Amino acid sequence: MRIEDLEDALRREPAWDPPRGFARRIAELAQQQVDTRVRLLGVLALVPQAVRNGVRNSAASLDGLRWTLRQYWLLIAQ
Amino acid sequence: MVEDERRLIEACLTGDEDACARLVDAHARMVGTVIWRATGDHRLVEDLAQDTFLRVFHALNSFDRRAKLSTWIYTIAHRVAIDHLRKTGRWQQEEFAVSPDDEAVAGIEQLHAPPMANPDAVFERDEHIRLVREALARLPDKYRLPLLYAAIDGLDYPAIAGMLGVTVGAVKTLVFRAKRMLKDEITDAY
Repeated sequence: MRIEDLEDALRREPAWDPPRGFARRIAELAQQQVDTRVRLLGVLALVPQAVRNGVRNSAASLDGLRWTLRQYWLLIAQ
Repeated sequence: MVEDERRLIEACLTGDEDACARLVDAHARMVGTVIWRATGDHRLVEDLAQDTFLRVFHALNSFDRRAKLSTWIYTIAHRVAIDHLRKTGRWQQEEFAVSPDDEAVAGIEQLHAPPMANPDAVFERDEHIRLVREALARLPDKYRLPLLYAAIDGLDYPAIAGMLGVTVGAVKTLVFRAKRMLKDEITDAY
């Protein structure tokens, strides 16, 4: 067998054809991930303030923190 | 980078879903083909191609606009395929660097092996392809992947070099060496 025959056989291997709707589905998934990341970043940005508030009012801090975490969770779960 | 591509990237980064779909459309066929060649399993391609594009969009913000977008995307596809091979224990831990043994055969790409006696009489086309596939599966990944990628229509040596993280010269050497090894494998098997 010649090397040219090998090259020819390799080039005959079929290419992959994406299924119908593949690009749209990926675009939607990517967008969902971006939305989730934006929400998470928003949540993380609020954490330092929540901690400061907690330290300022130690008596109410635990309840306050619970409430805040619940709000964050609801935000993420949207 | 062409202006259209730059605009497409900017649109994707602003959350334009149509732009994201156009980007996927433009590269899906090549991404899937790279993954198919690397894994050898058609059933995995859709999932791994999806994984590739999600990684692309996740990292698009950090993409160096001076680089070629297609090569960057195919590099991610290659890495996704390699990650899969690693997870399934099919990856041979070998770098794509050219070894002294490979260097010994560099620069003689035009040297063709002598034809076997009347090969057309020996192999029907399907049998021929089956033999090549079986022999390919026995090649080390270091040689198998450059050879397979080089046979993909539209994937040139500079792109393959970018994907594998080696020079164009190294790709040529690895491909040449792979062809020789493949031929030897088939000759020995027969």
